[in-house]
Amino acid sequence: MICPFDASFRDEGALVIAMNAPMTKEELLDLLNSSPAVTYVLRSDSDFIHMSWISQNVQHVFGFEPEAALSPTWWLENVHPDDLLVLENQLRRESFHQGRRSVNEYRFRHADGHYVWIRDERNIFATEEGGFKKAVGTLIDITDQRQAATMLKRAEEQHAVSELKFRHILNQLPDYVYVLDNDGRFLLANAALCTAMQVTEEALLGVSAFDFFPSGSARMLKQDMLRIFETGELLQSEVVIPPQKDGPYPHGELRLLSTRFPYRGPDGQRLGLVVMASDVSETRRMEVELRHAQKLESVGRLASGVAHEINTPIQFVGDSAYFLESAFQDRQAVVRLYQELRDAVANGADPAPLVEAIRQAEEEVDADYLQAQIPKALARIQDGVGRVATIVRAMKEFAYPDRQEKNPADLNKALLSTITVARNELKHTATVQTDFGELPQVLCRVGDLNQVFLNLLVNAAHAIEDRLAAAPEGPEGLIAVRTRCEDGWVRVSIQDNGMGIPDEIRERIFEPFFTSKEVGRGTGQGLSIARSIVVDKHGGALDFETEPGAGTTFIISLPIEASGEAA
Amino acid sequence: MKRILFVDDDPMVLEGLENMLRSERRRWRMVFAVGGTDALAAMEAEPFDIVVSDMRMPKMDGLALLRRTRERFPKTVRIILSGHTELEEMIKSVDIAHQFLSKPCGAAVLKEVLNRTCNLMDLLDEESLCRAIGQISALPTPPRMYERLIETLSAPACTLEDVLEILEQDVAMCAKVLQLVNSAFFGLERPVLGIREALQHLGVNLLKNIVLSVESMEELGGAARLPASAVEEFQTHALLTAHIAARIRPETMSRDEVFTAALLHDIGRLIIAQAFPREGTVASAALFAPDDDSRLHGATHAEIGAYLLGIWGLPHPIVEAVAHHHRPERVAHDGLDVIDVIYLANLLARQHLGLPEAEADFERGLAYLRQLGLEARLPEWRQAAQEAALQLKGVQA
Repeated sequence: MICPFDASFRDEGALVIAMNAPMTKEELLDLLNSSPAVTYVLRSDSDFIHMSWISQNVQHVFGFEPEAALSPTWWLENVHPDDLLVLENQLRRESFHQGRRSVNEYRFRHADGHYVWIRDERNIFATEEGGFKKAVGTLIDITDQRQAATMLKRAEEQHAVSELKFRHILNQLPDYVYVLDNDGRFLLANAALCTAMQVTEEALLGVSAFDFFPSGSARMLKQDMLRIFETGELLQSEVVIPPQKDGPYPHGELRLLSTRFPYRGPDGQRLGLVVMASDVSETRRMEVELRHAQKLESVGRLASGVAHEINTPIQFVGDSAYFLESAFQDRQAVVRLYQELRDAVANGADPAPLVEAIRQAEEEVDADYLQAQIPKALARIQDGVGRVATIVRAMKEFAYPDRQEKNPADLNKALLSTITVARNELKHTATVQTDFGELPQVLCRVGDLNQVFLNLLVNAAHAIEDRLAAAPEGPEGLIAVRTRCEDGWVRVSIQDNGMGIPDEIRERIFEPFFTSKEVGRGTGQGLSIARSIVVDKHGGALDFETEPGAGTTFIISLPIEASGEAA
Repeated sequence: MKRILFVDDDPMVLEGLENMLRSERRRWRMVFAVGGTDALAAMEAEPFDIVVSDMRMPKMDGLALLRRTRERFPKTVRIILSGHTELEEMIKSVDIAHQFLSKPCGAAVLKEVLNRTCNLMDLLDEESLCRAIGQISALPTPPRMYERLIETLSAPACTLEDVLEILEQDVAMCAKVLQLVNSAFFGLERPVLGIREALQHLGVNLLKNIVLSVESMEELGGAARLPASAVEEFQTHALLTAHIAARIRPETMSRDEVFTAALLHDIGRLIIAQAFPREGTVASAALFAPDDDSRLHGATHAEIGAYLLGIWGLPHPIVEAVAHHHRPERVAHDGLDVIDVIYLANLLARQHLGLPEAEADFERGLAYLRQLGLEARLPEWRQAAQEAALQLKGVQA
């Protein structure tokens, strides 16, 4: 540390320092000798400048005896050779006027050989002619400072590099990233956002996000920001941006998965809001397609079963119609005889031979049989046609393409039609029992729910199949479907007496693509899609109870009032 | 009176069938059983000539029922009447059922199938014969042939011609393929009489599927009762007959159909050799016995062969041709019929191969030819036979 003090000479051979309080010479020398700075005086003797006095602390600071330091060559010897030339040039060029200060920084050798950096500051006294009279200076060890300066510079460089890296990454991200201050003004916006919004980052800085984004989004952003500031926690949600004709997304809606959290400074104080948004439009679209594909897959799997369910009634409808045709002919033959009899009686002819003929004819065609069977055949035809109509109707309801919005639906009816459609798949394994409570209409996407019901029913049948395969003597397969309405919720339970779910996999059954079934029996999508439909799309719950070896019950809970999609 | 049992798990189907078949009630005794257990009980109570069963039934499905039927009552002809449309179901049934019908099955088709089968059963009197033949699900194929077929089918660039080339040489497989393709399952407009046409309908992929999954065909490779060499020799005769028949036939006759029927004409011999090994004689003796009226349990090899093909549902023209291939005069016809062609081709083949009694048979044949006024064509036909034999050497190399 340099002590800036004004030096003025009153006395040759001594220094008097102008200070607030006068000092004795001894006190002054003590001060100089204990300072971290080495003080010296230069004089000129016939053009030769030499050090005439140096403070005692030269020993402490540089390791030299004061006497040694006063030797004419001392200074020259100990300046670092690389710095000497520069210094000499500079010194020679200096002009001398009174009070001129001159400062140099160079390396000087300590007595034990190592070099230290020093700052050499001189105050020069000139003669009236402008020549060198004398100079007073200080030498201060600035090694630490210089190191610090170097380190600081390096740190700044590193910081610049890291800043560049960070920027680079930020601007390469396809996600939109921006930071707002506590009032919602932009502090940072990455390239993705700027490109999308067709602005530059500079233009955004300081602009209020609430003015910048379209009103709907801005409003939601503000709401979220306030909420996040209140709770101090991260908020993640899906944001839908409707198509805007003049905006950056004129086609189709944009779905963003938006993550927002408080922007904090080094001491934890809240400086603003960080927002990161990923475009999940494509993913969502694919999810919809996947769901549809899964639905078609199950429809396809059922198709052959349904074909059988249709072929069977068609068989007996055809047979019954065929029979009715010949039965009619047969009866006609007899009726004609009766007509002849009627005419004969009317004409007074002998009825006896005709009666005999009738008796024979009736025996021939087995009139009793016809009497009994014709109504049965007619009923059978009605039944068969009805069966086919039911299946076709159920298939139609089942395979109907999804409408986006929710409609009120009777879930009992939906369950019945799903059971019908799946009947062929189920009937060989288990008896299906239904216990339907009174249900109000539920606002829902019934096509999706049918898919859920189907997946659960098929799973139930498979579980029973597995149990029977392992232990054929076991109880017969039973699937019980029960519906109830309780406290604003509709509960559908599907219970089977199958294998049950082993403890080890209980956690995993809702995972997409997780399956314990062998190839060909399902892709493992059923439960994960079911969960997604019930929980995400309808705000409901999908739970299960299970006992390995005894069976499983899945319970779907749906709110009667749709709560909308999960926020 | 023939006895027919109908089995289904749906009582309405049975009632419908009963109604529909009412007109036949005086010809056939018909019983309708709900489910497999009742059906077996009915069969225990009285023997049935034909059983018509649904495939998928709870507790005991159609195939299980038919398997038990084959074990207990091998004489009963087994027919599936199924509402299922998947091919796999049909393939599964190939081993066990003689014929496969699809629901909805119209009255005409069902009646025709039942009639035909009933008539067939009149062809053979002997119980033991019917029982033995009823059990057969496939006939022996030389392992070499089977392997060649698998190899060819597995080749990535396998064409229909490649497969046909092999199939044409094997009597047993031809018969099986024809059984399959004529199954009402395929819903073809007309019956398929030729092996080439059959392959065209089935396609190579399906055939591969079938060959690989049909158990019986797999077993064949190993069916060791007959020495492979004997079967191969037998096939040579069959093949030669087929080639000769193809050459001497009138242009108006389909080559495919004539070839196929001729190939199958002696299948009865194969059946006898396989199913009725006579004690003290080499099984293969049956393959080369004289072509006379010698009867096994009252039936000639011709009738036996026809019976099998008949209950397998092969089309009537083939069945007829096989039944009467060495007594063509028995079947009323005008001009040169397929039966005649096969008869003659057979004679020529036997003569060429120097099989027992060939000359004597040939003399008789000559007489028949003279009757038909076709004697003059004999040299031409002899020539054709020579050429066919040469061609065959090439094929069999």
